Amino acid sequence: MMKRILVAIDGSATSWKAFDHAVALAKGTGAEVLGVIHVRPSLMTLSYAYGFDEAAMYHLNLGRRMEQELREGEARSRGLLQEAADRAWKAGLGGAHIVTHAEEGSIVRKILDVVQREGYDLLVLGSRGVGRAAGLLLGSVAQSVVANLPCSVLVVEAKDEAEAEDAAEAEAAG
Amino acid sequence: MTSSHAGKRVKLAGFVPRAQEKGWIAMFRKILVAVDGSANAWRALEQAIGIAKAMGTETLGLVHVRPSLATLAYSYGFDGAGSPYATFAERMVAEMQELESRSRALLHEAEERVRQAGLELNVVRHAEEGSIVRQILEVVRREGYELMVMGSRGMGRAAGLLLGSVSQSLVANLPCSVLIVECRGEKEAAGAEAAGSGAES
Repeated sequence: MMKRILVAIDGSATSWKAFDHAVALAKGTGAEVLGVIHVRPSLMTLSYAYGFDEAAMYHLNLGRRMEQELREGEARSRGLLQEAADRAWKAGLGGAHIVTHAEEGSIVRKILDVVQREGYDLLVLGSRGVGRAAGLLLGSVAQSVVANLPCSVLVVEAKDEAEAEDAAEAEAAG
Repeated sequence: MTSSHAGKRVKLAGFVPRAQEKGWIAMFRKILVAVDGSANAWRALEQAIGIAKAMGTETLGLVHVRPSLATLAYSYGFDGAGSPYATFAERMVAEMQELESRSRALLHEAEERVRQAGLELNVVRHAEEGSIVRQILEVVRREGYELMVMGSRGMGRAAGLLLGSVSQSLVANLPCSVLIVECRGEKEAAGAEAAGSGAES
């Protein structure tokens, strides 16, 4: 039924909540594989976020900074996935394997790619938090994933504690 | 308008609020499944049963929404109040009764399937009448369901879409977690059939 479960994380409290639900589901349903995916921004996305296009970047002194950020992004991604794997281990997954997917690029496209490529039956993600649309009832990532519906999708609602935590973090980050 | 023969079961006495410790409990205490007789909806129910087993769920709600008189009349191309035909009105009444008994039978079958799965939990039936989306949202809010499970298509008439219109507006509006059940590869012949036979007059 739900042999292969994939959960998308981004480090937000909401995504950890979704993650915990995915672990509980994998455990309870006797899933074979629990996949964890994190998608980090690519050079393209990063440079757009800074308001520069790539071509102009090399004339300014941004090249090195971008490079550094990319490397940091990669390390963060690795750390996050490691944390997820540890957390799943601690919860005790029974027979399920944990597989991590560190991807780079467009969040939605990469998630859909991995679901299709690896044949996941169920995708779990937080209703918000992946991406920055914190004010919406349903985040943009969740919305596009649901619209594309590559497999069964569980959108875990970010209510109460998780939401407050994310809001506080966003505020702290400016 | 809304007739709800929700179960007469008493609310669980020791209903504990979400643990105040940091973090949360990864479980769904109350799950609601929408049934409409389509193959997709039955698959959704199956998945809901699986999740209820895995998550230690206490209450499994089953909701079916049948069209109200107004919806029926519109689907026949008449408006309810202005119909000049006595026979038409009679036919409407007969159809309403028919729909109501069909709704009851559907919920009964759904409950049977849950029982057969051997789950020890409360099963609550919600037989509603009116707009599908609005009635489901109301049930979720009123009863405090934490997870809504539904098929990607089958309810309503948009059988050809990737995500049906009902599922779409529910996903956008629900205040709780949502599971949309999608089965790859199997085209929903049964679901399309059900929608088609409903449209015929």
